[in-house]
Amino acid sequence: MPQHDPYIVVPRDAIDKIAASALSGGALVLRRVPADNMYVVRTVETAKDMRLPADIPGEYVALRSGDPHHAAQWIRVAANDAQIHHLFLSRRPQAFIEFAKFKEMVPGVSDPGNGLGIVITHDPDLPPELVEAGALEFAGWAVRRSGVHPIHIEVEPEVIGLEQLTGKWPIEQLAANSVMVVGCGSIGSAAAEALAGFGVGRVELLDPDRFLWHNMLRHALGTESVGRYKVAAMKDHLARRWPEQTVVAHQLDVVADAHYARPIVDRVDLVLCAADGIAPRRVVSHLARRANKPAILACVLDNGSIGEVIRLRPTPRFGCLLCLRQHLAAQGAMDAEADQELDYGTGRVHQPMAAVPPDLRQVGTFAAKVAVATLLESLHGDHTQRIPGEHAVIGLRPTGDLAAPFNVGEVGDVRWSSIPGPRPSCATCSAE
Amino acid sequence: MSVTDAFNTFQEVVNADITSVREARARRDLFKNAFGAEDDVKEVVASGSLARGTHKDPIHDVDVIVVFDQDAHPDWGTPGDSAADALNYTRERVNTLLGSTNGTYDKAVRLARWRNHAVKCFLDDPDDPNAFTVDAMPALRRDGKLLIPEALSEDWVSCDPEFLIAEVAKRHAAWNKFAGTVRMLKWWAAEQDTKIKSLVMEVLALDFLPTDVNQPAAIKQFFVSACYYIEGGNEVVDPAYLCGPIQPDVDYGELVECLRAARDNAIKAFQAQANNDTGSAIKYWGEVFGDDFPKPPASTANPAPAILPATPRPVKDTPQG
Repeated sequence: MPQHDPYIVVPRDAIDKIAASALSGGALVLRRVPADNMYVVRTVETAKDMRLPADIPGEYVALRSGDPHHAAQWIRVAANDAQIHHLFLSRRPQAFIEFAKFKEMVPGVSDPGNGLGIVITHDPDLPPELVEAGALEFAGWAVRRSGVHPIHIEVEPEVIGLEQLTGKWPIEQLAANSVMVVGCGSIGSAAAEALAGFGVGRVELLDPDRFLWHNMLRHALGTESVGRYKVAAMKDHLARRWPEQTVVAHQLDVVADAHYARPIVDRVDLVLCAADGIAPRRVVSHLARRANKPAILACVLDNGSIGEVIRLRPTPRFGCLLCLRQHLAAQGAMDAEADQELDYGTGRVHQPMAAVPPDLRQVGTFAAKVAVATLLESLHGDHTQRIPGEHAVIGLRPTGDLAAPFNVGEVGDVRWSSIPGPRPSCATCSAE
Repeated sequence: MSVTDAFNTFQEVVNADITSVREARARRDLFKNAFGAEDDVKEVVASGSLARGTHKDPIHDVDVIVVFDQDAHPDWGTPGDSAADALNYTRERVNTLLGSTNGTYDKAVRLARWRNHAVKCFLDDPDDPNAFTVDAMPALRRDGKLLIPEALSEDWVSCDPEFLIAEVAKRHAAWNKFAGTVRMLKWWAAEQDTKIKSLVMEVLALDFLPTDVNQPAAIKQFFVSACYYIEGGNEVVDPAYLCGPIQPDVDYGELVECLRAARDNAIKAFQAQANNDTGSAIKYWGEVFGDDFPKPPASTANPAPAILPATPRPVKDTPQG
């Protein structure tokens, strides 16, 4: 069908009303949305002279707008003639049926006069082989005296959202899992969105700050959230986009409120830390290790030139964040994170934000991927989700002058390495 | 032969012969009844893999726990000689009740010797290749847990074998192939070149053998997750968190290597099955479980090998919209 043809959208409630009607046909009222050349079914005649509105949830803003009262018809057809013709004509641009022949095939169709009539034909007994061939239970027609053209009709499916991935992605397993996201800034908000998209069933957000103007550049939230606490705004944001997910908001600082964070760590399967600064990351490393939970730490280093994602596993083979940092410092690879304590990310004039929004989004999404892969490999035995190491360095704007393992040379390069075992004196790794 | 058929056939190989199982249950009941009538015995608890339903072929022993009345043995349960005393006393009662010469209840036990925790009772002809023992372990019940003697340390230690029995029962109620699959995993462990205790596999299965997928998928998932766990340097410990490591002397490096090999072959088998290549799937499962796993059917119509060597397949273009 030509792309400039009108498009009919039928909400699920209208479908149900037509399918349940004892009539063989009836009137429809459509809304027309001129900008999108779209017709939306709003009212269905379900019994003689009884017209009921089709329910369209409020969030479908475009489907609830437009010019009302474009009269149309729905007609139940038998023997699938109409639906087969619709299928064949749809594959032949400019093809049409003469109005008189269409009227023979679809009895009850009204004469459109000099205007445009729109008809939806419904064949409830369409044989499976025709469905397989592409014929539709509901078909749309633009009816003019000069000829009748097939037009596209889009029926709201019974299954929407993540459930569509059933059998293709382990949504049932992940729905039972939970992740605590510490820090809901630019990386954390991207990670939280990605966790929702992967289908993690429960996310507990933890951040003490408000969402302000300087955050808008790089954050998943927008103008509607300025002034709100980040966790509350993110909870609402995720609820709109991913209603299947449970989001719990904790307006807490993981350092100052570590005693409140500890029981949250205990009840989740994994901790993802996207908080700025050394102290929050060290606290997360310690809390997660003591709770015997894996932790994924994500940040950008060196003014946003590289991203870093660390997977901390609370096992004898792998040390904690401090063990890794001291190892890297001893190698001459890291400046003990001193630069990161300089208010990075606050947007103040003396320390302007350097990282680019999509780069931060990439790091957040990458961290969420590592988190989900860890859950799937360790808890659900998913061999397609094994990752090649515990420490990833991602080239964002690599300068090429950093010591290994941070010496990625190209944008998009991901350098994986392992991390050292616990230091004998480490209070996090060895404390009982 | 489908992959399911191959697993069903292998399950028959792994399962203990029903005659042996009946004999094992009869011996367990013999000890339960003999000791159950004793005045100083509060209960006799069936334990071990037979009680859990995870015994594989061949059966090496049957475990019973004789829970004595603390009031009748007030010195027991404290460090010192009482651990050996309890084992000696149990051995003497075995002899009195079930000794082959003078047993008052039955004349069944030819020889009884105590080990670290239990009295090992020999009922069979030593030359019988299917011989298996009954291990009778004295115990006291305290705070819902069992206190058992440990001869080597001259002390008593807490344990909770009923916890593992209950956990396995729970899994098996959720999936009636659980116990049978554990038997397969124990069979796998016995096939490895390094010593891996059966109980190590049972405990790993509790954590990593899922109960909501089919048997090949569950085994594949088990090896992926168990490998991840052991690669991290974790130990396998008593699931009741009372007795510590199950096998302190296990070579974890060797165990990881064994698990990796099994994991990689299980993944290949799983992917072959997903690609409808049943022959390769069965072949790879044979790589996991050894020569006793059924062989893929040989082709009769084509002189070419039944199993083509696996080659990387081309990528598919699948637009997602």
